[in-house]
Amino acid sequence: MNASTRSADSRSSRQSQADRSRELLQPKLLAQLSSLELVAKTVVDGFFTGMHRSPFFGFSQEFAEYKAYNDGDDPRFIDWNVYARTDRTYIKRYLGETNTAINLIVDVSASMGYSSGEVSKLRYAKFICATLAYLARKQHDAVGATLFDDKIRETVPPASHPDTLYRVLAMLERTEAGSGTQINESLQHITSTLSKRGLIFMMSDFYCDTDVLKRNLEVLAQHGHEVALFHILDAGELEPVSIREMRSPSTLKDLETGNEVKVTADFMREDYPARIAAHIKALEKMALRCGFAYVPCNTAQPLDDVMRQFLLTRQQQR
Amino acid sequence: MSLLAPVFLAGLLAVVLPWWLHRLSRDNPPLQDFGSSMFLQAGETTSSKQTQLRYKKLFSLRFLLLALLALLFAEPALQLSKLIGTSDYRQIMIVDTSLSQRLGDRWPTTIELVGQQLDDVSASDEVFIVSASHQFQQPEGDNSVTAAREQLAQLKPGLTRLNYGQLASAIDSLVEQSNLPVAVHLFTDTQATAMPARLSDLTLDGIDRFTIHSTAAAGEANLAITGQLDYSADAMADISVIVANYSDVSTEATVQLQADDSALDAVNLSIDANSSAVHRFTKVDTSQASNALEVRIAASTSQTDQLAEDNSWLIALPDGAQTEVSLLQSNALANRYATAAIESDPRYMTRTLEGENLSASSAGGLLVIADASALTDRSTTKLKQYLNDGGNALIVVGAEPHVAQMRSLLNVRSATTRQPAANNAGNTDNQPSTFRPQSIGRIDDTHPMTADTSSNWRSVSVLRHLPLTTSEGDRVIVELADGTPLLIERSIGDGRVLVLASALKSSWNGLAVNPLFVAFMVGAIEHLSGFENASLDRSVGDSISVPPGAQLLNPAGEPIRDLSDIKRKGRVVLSERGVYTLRSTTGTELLSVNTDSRESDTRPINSDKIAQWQSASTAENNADTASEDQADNSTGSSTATALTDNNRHTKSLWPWLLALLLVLALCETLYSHRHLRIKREA
Repeated sequence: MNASTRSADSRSSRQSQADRSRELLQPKLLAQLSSLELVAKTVVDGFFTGMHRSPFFGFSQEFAEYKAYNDGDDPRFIDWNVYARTDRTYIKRYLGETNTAINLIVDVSASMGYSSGEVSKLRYAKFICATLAYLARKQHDAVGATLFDDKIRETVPPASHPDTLYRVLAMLERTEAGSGTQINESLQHITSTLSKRGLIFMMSDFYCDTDVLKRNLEVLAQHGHEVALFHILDAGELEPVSIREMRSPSTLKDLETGNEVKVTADFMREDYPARIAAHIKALEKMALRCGFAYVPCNTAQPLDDVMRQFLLTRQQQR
Repeated sequence: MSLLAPVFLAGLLAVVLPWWLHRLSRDNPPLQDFGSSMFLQAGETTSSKQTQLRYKKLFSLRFLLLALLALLFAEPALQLSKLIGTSDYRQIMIVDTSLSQRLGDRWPTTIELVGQQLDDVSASDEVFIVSASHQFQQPEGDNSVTAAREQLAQLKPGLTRLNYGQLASAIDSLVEQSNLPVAVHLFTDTQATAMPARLSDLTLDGIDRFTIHSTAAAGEANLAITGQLDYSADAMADISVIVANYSDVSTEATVQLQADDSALDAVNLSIDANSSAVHRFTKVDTSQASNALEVRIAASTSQTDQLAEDNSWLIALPDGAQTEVSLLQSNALANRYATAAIESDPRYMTRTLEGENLSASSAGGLLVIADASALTDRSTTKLKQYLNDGGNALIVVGAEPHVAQMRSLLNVRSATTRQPAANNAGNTDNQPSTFRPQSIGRIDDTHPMTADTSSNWRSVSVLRHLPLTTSEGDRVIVELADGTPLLIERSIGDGRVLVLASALKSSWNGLAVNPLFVAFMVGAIEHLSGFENASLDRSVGDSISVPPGAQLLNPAGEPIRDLSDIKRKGRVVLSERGVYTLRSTTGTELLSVNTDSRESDTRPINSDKIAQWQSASTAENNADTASEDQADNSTGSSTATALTDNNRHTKSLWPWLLALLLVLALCETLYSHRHLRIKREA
C-alpha cells in the first residue's frame, strides 16, 4: 500500500466519520438527549471531529505573549515558527484566554416557546448556549449567562471556575418559556451590570423594534463588548407551511400577548413571508453597520451549521 | 301519514345534515398558537372581512336549511295568489240557463245581478262565465271582465233542465283546475225540483267564496201542460192531459187538442192554486195527424202565466208498422218457440237471418239467438263482431255449445251441470223425468225485464242449465235456488247481451211453455232495443242511445249523425222540442221530445235549505275562517245570499320546500368543500 492510497483511505474515513457526526447534530436528535452538557459535548466534539485543522479555534481576540512550553500545555498552541527560529518551544497566549468574559444572554419569553416541530426556539437557544458555554469552558474562558423575558429572570455571572459551566447548564435546564418580552429594558439592565469587557452572545427571536434594539446594543458596543446576535426563528415562522396548507382562514394566537388574529391563507402565503424577511434583513443590516455578528438560526437547521456560520462571521470581522 | 312514509324518512336524513355540518365545522381548527402577532397585524383587517363574508354565506345556507326543515315539519300552507301570478281570485259566475229562467223577469234580473257582480270584480281577478243547464259550457274568450260581459250578452235561457247535483259536480271539476282561490257565484232561481234527493250531494270542495244569487221573485206563477197517449189503435187514440197551476191563485184554462195545426178537440179546465187538473180526450181520430198530436193551453184567465214554453205538449203516435226482429237461424224448435212468442205482440214480426250474413246493417240493433249451441264457428265470429260494434242480443245458450269460441264469448264452462235423480243418473235429454227440478232463487226486481214479472218467474222450474261464469260488470237478473245464475245481462264490446243459461227445450226447463215466455221475449226486445220507454215522452236535453245501423232524424227531418257514425252505436242529445224519427232496418220509431215538466214547477226552495247548502259547502273546506253574510239584493225582488267568504286559499307547500331543502343542502355541501375549503384531519 503506497502513501497516496493510505492518504485517500484516511480522508475517506474522516469524511464518513464527519457524516455520521453531522447526523447526530440534527436538532431533533439532540432534543432526545437528556442533559444539556451531553448536548454540548456532542455538538462540540462532533463539530470538531474530522477537522484536520481548525482556523477558528478559540474566542480570544488579542495576542498577549509567548510562554515557554511546559508539560501539561496543549501542544497545539506551540508556535512552530518561533521554534524554527529559536529552537525552543513556546506557546502563543492570547489576552482572552485569561480575562475574556463570555456573556450568554438568552430570551426566555413566551414567544420563544413556540414550536412547529419537535424543537422549540427556546430549546434550540439552550443548545446553542450550552454549546458555546462548553466551548468556552474548554478554552478556559470565563462564561456566564443571563435569562430574561419582560425582566431579568436569572443571572450567572461570568467566571472561569469549572463549576460555572454546570451552573449555567443547570439554569438553562430548569428554565421554561415565561411571559412577555421587554428586550430593550432587559438590555439596559444588563448593560448596567456588566463591568468587564467581553463577548456578549445574545439569543432571541428579536420580535422588537430594530431601531430601539440598535440603540441599546450600541451602548453595549460602546462599553467595549463584542456582540453576536443569534436570531432564532422557528421553521413555521419563516415558512408557515402548516398554515399555508390550510385552505380556509385561520385564527392565530400570540403566545405572549394572547391576541387572536384572523388571517387568510393568502396573507400567510404571500404577505407574511415578505414581512418576516424584511425584518430579518433589517436586523442583519443593523448588525452589519454596528459591527455585530449576526447569525440567523432556523430551529430545523443542524447546530454545526450554526456554529460554522458563527465562526465564519467572527473570522470575517477580524 | 305514517312515520315510515318516504317523506319522513327523507326528513330524517335532513336532521342528520346539521350534525354532519357541525362535524365539518369542528374539523376546521378554530385557533392556532403563533410566536408573535407582530407581523400579522397588517393583514388581519382584510382577511377578517373576507372571512366574515364567507362565513356569513355559509351561515345563511345552514340557517335556511334549518328553517326549511322546521317549515317542512310545520307543513306550511301559503296563499297561492301572492305566489302565483297577479290574480287574487278566480271568479266563476255560473248562470242558470235552464227553462225556468225564462219565467217572468228572471232572466233580466239575472243579467243585472251578474253585471253588478262584474262591477265589483277586481281587475286582477280571473273571471269565468259558465252557462249551466243540462250541460255546462264556458263561452269562448279570455278571462277578463270585458270578455265576461261579452260572453254574458251571448247567453240566453234554453229549454233544458238544470240539476243542482250535476252542477255541484261541475263546480268541483272547475275548482280542481284552479291554482287560485276560487269564488263561485251561482245565479239561479233556486228551483226546488232541481235539488237532488240528498242535500249532502251539493257539498262543494275547495272553494273560498260561494255566493248564491237568487233570481226568483215573489208572486211568480206558471201554468204548464203535459200529455200522455193512453191507447192507440186503428187511427183512434185516448189522450190524457194534466194542467198544473204553480201559483197562489186559482185559474181557468182552455186546453186544445190539435193535429198538425188543426184543432181536434178542446176543453175548459178549472185549476186550483198550486194544484193540477186532469182531462182525458177519448176516441180521438188521429188519421189527420202525420206523426204526432199536440195539446196546448190555448187561453187562460190567469194573468200570471209567465212561462209560455211549457204551454204545449207533443204526443208521438205509433205508425202502426210492425218492427222486425232479427232471429238468427239455429235450432228449429227453439226458433219456433221464439218466433211464436215475439209475433204474439202485434208490434213485432220476426225475420230469420243466416249466421253467415250477420252484420249491423242486416240485423239492426237487436238480435235474438234461440240456441247458441247450434251456431257455427264462423257465425260465432260474426256475432262477436256484431256485439263489439254495439249490437244487442238475447242469447239462449241452449245445449252445451260445441264451439269453443262461443263458450269463451259467453263464459260458459264446458261441463254440463246435471242434477240426476237417484235412480236414473246419466239418462239422455229426452228423459226429463230423470232430473230433479230446481226452483228459481233470487230475482233482481229492479231490472226492467223482471220488475213486473218476478212472481211469474217463481213458477218456472229448471231441470238443467249450463254454468255461467260471471265477471265484474255482469248483472245477474235471475238466479237458481242454489245461487247459480240463470239469466244475466252483460256488456260485450259496445253491445249488450242477455244470456239465458239454459235451452228452450222442455227437457231443460218449462220456460217455453210458460205464459211468462212471451213477456220474457217481448221484454227482452224492448229492453235491448232501448225503446221500452218509447211510448213515454222525452225531455229536451236527454240523450238516447242510437243502435248501430239506425239513423236519427231531428224534428225538421234532418239526420243528426254522420253516415260514418251509423255503423256504430252512439249517444245523441235531444236538443230540440219536437218529434224525432229513429229509422233502422227493423222499422221506424217516433220520439216526442217536450220540455222537462220539472222545469215548469218554478217554486223555489226555502232559504233554510239554501243556508244548509252553503254551510255544508264551506264548513268542510274552511271550518276555521268561514263567515256568513246574507244580504238582500238591490233589485228588491230577488234575494242575494252571500255566504262563506274565506279569504284564505291555502295549498300545502311541503313538496316544494322539500325539493328546495335538497337543493340547498347540495349547494351548502359544494360551497363548503370548494370555496371555504375546510381542512380535514388526515
